[in-house]
Amino acid sequence: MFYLNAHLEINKVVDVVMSLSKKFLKPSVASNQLRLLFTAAERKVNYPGHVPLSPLQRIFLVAGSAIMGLKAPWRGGDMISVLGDASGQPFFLHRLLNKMLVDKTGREILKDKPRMTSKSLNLPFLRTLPPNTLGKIYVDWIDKEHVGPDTRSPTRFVDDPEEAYVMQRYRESHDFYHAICNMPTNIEGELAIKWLEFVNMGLPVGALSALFGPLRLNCEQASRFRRVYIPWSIRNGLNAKTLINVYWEKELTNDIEDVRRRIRIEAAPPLV
Amino acid sequence: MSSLVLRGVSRVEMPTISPTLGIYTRKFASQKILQRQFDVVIVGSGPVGLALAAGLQSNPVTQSLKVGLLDIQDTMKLKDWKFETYSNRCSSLTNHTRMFFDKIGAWDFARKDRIQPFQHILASDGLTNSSIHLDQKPGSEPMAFMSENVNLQYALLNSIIDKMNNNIKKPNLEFLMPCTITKLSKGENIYRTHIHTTTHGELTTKLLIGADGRNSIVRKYANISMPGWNYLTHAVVGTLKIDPLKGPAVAFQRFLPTGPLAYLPLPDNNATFVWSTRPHIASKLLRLPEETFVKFLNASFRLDYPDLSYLYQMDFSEPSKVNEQLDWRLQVKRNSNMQVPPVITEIVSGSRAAFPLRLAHVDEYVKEGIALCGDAAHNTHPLAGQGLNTGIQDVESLISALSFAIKHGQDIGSVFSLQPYFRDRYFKNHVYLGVVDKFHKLYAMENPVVTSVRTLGLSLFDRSASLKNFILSTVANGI
Repeated sequence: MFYLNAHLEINKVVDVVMSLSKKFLKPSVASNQLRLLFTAAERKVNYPGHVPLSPLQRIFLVAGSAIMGLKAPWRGGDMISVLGDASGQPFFLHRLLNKMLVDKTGREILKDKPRMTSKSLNLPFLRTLPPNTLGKIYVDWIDKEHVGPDTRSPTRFVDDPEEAYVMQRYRESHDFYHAICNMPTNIEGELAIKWLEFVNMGLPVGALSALFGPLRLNCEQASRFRRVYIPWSIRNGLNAKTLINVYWEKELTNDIEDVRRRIRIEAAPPLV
Repeated sequence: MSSLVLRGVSRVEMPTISPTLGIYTRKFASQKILQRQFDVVIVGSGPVGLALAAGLQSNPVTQSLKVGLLDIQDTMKLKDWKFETYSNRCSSLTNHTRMFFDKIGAWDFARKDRIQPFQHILASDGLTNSSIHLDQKPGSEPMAFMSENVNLQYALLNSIIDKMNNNIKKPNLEFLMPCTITKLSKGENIYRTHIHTTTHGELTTKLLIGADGRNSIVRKYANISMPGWNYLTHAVVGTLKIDPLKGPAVAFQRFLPTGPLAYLPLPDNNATFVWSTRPHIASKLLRLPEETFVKFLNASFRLDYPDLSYLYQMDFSEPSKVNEQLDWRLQVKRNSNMQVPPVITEIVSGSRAAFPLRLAHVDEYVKEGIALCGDAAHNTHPLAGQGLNTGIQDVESLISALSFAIKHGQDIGSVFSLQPYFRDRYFKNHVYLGVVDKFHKLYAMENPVVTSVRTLGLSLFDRSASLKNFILSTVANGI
C-alpha cells in the first residue's frame, strides 16, 4: 500500500511535468532548437523502462523531486531516486562511469552487470555466515532496519544504457555503504552517507541531499552532525577507493575489517 | 649592394692549398675533361626532389639549366610502377599543391583512381569528444587529396620523361640513379661544388640542392645546424581496409592526450592512418596481432579516453585478454553523437610501421652554392598532413628565385640569388612549425581547466563561419 501510493505520486509528478512542457510548446512559434528543448517526443528509448526527457523536463523534474523529497520525508526514498535519475546527466554519471572504466574491478562490474536482489544475494545463506563477515553484518543490518535489496526503484530517466546501469548499481549498493560504515538509516545516518557518497563519487543527488538535508535536523542533531559526521564523511569520502568499484557480492564472506582496510574506509562513530 | 656579395663570399671556407696539395691539384687539373658539369644538382628523388626537377624543366626561364638528379635508390624503376596494395607512405595534398603539379604538367600522369579527394575533416577532442567539422561548399574544389607518395613520384618521373622524349634538343636533365656519393667538396673553382661518386665519377655543379630528407648529407656537408627537439611520440602508420563507404569521403582526426590519431580516406574502401602515440604504446601496437590491432584502432576512434587509458596499460603479450576487452567495449551501445570513421576491417599485412617524431628547423636554408628544401630543412609532426605541402611550396619558391636570378643575369649559385627563397620560406615554415607544436602540446594536456577551455574554444569555433573559412583557406592553400 505504501509503495503503491509512492509510485502513484511519482507518476503524478511526471505527468505534470509532461503536460507543462506541452503547454509551453506551440508549433507556430517554436523553432527547431526550442522544439528540442521542450519535447521528448523525438527522443529514442534506449532500454526497457527508459523514459526520455527533454532538457526542460529534466530541470522541472529535478526541482520538483527535490522539493517533494524535503516536504514529504516518508516518500523521500522514491523522490530521491527520481532526483538521482534526473540530475545525473549530462556530466556526473559519465564521470562516474569513467571512474569504473579505469579500474579493473569497475570494468568487471560493468561487464557482468550484476543485479542485487534477495535471490542473487542469497539472504538465507548470508544469515548463516560468521558474525565478522560483511555478508552477515549486511544481512543483520537490513533485517534490523527493515530494508532490503528489493526496495530500490529502477532507473528510468538516464538516457545512456550504461550510465543507467551505473545509477542502478549506485543505488543498489547504498545499503552496503551503510553496512561497511556501520551507519543506521535514521536522518543523521542517511545524511552522513549522502555526504560520503557525494565526496567519494560526485553525483549531485548526494550533493543536494547533503546540502539541504540538515534542514530537517533539530538543533542538537545538527550540532552533533556538523561536529562529528561531516568531518568523518569528508575524510573517508576523499580517502576511500571509489565505492562504485567495489564488487560487494564477492566480498560477502570476507572479514569486514579486511574489506574496510582494503577500500580504506573506517566505521563511523556510534550515535549517542 | 656589393657589400652583400662580399659578405656572402666571406662566409665560404677558403680551402688552404699547401705546396704539396698544389702539386696534386696541378696534376688533377690535367684530368678535368673527365668531370661532368651541371648548373644544378639535386640530391634526393622523393616527391620534393622530383617536383623541383620537373618544375625547373617546365619553367621557360629555368629549363635552360643543366640539371642532374641523384639518389642512392633507383627511383627510375617507378617509371613502370606496379599498381598493387596501397603504400603506407601517403600525403594529404592541398589544392594549391595539386595546382602546382598541374602547372608543371605532372598531374596528368598521376593515377587518379588511386587518389582520393575529400571535402570533410572531422576533428575531435579525445577527452571531451567535442568536435569541429570542416567542410567545403558543395560543388567547390576538394579540400585536399589523399595520395600515395609513390604515385606522385610516378607522375613526376613520367612527366619529366615525356618532356625529354618530346624535346628535339638535347635534354638538359639527367637522372643519375642509383648513385653512391662518397664525398662533397669545394674544388679549385670555389664557385663549384664537387660531388665524388663511386658510380658516376666526379660531378661539379654551381648549385647543390639538398632534397634528401631529415638525414640530409647536403645539410651536413654545409655545416648547417638543425636545432629542434624530439617529441616523446612515435607515429604508427599503415594501410587499412574498411567497410564499404556510404556518403562522402571524410578525414578524421582525434586528439588523444597521448597524441593525435588521424584516419585518411583512400579510394575503393581503402584508408590510411597516422597514429601518433607514446613510444612504449607504439612498440606494443606494432607487436599486436593484426586482428587485435584493428580492433584497437576502431576502439581508439570510439571509446572515451579513460576506457582507452586502461586498455593502453594492459599486458599486450596476452592478446586474448585484450581482444576480450575490446570486443566488449566495442559492442556497448552508447547514447552518443560522436561521429566516427567507417569500421576498419583489416590492416594490409606488412604495411604497419612506426617512426619517431621530432620538430626541427635549420638555421639557414642557403649558403654559397647550396640550398635545402623539404624535410632536409624542416621536420614536423604529421598533424594536418602538411609536411609535403610545405616542401612543395619550398620548391615553388626556389624555382621562382632561380628564375629571377637568370632573368637578371645573376649567378644561380650565389647567396645573393638564393636569399629571396630563404626570406620567403623561413618565416612561413617557422610559423607553421610553431603552430603545429603548440597545438600538439595543447591537446596532450589532461588538466580539466585546459580541457574545458579547449572544449569551449572548439565549440565556438564550430559555430563561427568566418573562423572556419580562415582555417579552410589555410588547409586548402597552405600558409
